[in-house]
Amino acid sequence: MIEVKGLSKRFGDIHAVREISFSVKEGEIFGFLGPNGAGKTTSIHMMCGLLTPDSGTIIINGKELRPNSTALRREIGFVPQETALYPELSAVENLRFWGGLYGLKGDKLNQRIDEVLHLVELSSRAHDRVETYSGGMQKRVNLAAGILHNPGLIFMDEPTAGVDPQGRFAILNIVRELAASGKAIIYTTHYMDEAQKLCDRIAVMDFGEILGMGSFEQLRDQVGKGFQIFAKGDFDGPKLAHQLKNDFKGEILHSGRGLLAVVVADAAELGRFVAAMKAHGVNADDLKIKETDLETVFLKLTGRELRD
Amino acid sequence: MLKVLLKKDFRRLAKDPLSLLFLLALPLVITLIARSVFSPSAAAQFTVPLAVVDQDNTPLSEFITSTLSNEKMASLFEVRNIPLKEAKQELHDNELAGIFVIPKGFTDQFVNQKPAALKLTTNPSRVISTGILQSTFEILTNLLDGIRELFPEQIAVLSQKNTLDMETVFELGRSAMDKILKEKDLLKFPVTFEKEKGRKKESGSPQNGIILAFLPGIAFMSILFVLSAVFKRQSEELENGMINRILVSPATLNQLLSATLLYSLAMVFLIQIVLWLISIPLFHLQIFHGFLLLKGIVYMSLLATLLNAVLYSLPMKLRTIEAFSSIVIITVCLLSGLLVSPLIMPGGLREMVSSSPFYAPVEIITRAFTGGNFPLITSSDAIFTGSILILLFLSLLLFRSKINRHRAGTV
Ligand SMILES: Nc1ncnc2c1ncn2[C@@H]1O[C@H](COP(=O)(O)OP(=O)(O)OP(=O)(O)O)[C@@H](O)[C@H]1O
Ligand SMILES: [Mg+2]
Repeated sequence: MIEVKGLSKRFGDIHAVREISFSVKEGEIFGFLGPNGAGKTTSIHMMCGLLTPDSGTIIINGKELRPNSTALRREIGFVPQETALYPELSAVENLRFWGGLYGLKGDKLNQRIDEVLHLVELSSRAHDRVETYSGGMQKRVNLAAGILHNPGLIFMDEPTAGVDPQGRFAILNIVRELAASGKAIIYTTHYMDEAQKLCDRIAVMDFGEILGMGSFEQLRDQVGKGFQIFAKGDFDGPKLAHQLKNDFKGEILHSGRGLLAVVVADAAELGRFVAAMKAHGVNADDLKIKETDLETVFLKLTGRELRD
Repeated sequence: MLKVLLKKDFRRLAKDPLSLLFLLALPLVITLIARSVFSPSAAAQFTVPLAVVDQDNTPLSEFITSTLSNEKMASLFEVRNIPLKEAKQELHDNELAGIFVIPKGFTDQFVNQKPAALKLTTNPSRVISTGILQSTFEILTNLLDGIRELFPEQIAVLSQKNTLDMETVFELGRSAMDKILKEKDLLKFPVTFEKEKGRKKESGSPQNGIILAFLPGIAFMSILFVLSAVFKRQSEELENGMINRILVSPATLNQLLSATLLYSLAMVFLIQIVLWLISIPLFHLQIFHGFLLLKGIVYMSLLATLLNAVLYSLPMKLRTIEAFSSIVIITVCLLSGLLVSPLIMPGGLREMVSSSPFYAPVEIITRAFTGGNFPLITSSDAIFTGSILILLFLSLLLFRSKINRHRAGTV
């Protein structure tokens, strides 16, 4: 569906996207996971034809995307990060406009509007002004506007940002339904659990680079199944790591001033690590322990927590 | 595509009737304020500098010239009794609005029932004063004609006297009064005469002269406000990602800009229609040249669109542009003769304003209401419209490149 090769973009001194390459198939949900400023939106804008890349190619359905490929734009659905809707118009009126831009009209347009409003569960509020909707409802109309013309490739830029857990659950289900109907979906988020639960494949991104890519299981294999321990306290991380080296079996992900992150394979090793820390004067209260997940991968790849 | 884009704009407008009302109310409120401020008494402050040259030097000509400088007229005319040569120079220097000449032999022709002519030379660069002068002297000549028609005996008495003393005037008045009372037909005639001429007199009255000095400027200001609102919204949409979303669709940037332009023009005409439809009966305005009014409106719309297109293409943040645009709007209002009419501006400024392109449409519209023999189309029209259209096109390219720069992340 889409194939991206060596895509780069600079804004002055900021290297927003560096040489990213990947491809996404029909029915696949491909996630971009990264913190603020990672370059997710910039990447999506280039793939939608809004930004001209400095270098690299984007091939959609076998055709290269160029600044004036108007026909190719019909294949693309775009759900922007900020809600881009006319607040004084109702959901139906907004959708009529966005649908009109893609040449939909008459009964066909009305039928599609009914369908997408049903999908995002807003049929009952269809004729109210968008400005009277809650943030989560607006996000859902925003999504509806992006898929109205039935595109094969859909870009969704943080569609769940600022939405409560129930709302997020609803949106994730819509995305799954769309993928099940054969759409290729490129989805950005900085919620680790979302990427883990929703995406078939994930690209971990930071400072414009894709640091690791694959399914959740493949990515986790880089750190193994087990436990992640994150210690914070009044100690010298690298020195402590050196002293602890022989006291337990595990991988040191990251160390710094007052900071140490390790991965251990099982509960027994976890016990040995905690005991060893105690011997060096670090309290159990200062340890954050959880099963290894994408955050562990992110920590290993970037040396920082996802939400810092 | 254009249809879809425009339909959306008008639907948004219809959905927000309050803002529409506000946009329409703005020029109306200013118009109403102008009407109350420029009541007949305020009009007294506005005087037309006029040279009166009496070459006839008879009691009648003296009577006419003294009438022009009597107390009531003094509120309207600033009369100077100077020689013709000097007056012509002053008119050329724009110090005078007109020269009124009573030629030698006028009284003789008048009393002997021969065709008699008075001469009025007006200053073409003073449109409103010209209108006032012309309608005033039309009334004066009508009056003289009427007197000659009705009171031949009294006129004959006048021709025999060399001086006009109080006693003679009183005697003339008494015999005229007797005639009016005796012949009932006479009494009717002046009444219908008044009625017939009523409308015409009103249109040229000084009050409307003042109103007219301001109305086109008000129209211009409202256009500027409306257009700046339209362009501002467009820039907001650029900053909040709405335009990005439109540009992901098959719609092109050129289509988007064309729709914006069409919408702006539609808004401008809407405002104009409301403003003039209400002003014309409100101020008893009389349109002498509908074509000139239309031409003035088109000029104004083009100029205002140009101004806004340039303003909003500047590589600045929206908030900076907004602050800047209010300065520009006030300057333009000044240059269009809105805030202070150029008629009462001091010399140098008056010339600057009169020659500014922003005053041109105001002047054209004023002419549409004050009448007179003006060419409807002049050779400079082609240059004016042509250059504005070219500049407008260039500024739209500028606006376009701003959107492109924004997309490329260089803004
Ligand atoms: N138009 C622009 N001009 C200059 N710099 C930009 C522009 N757009 C993005 N950047 C910079 O490029 C980098 C990547 O930004 P981008 O918006 O792609 O991040 P993101 O991953 O979408 O972040 P977020 O999670 O906050 O949405 C940032 O450092 C940002 O400051
Ligand atoms: Mg983003």
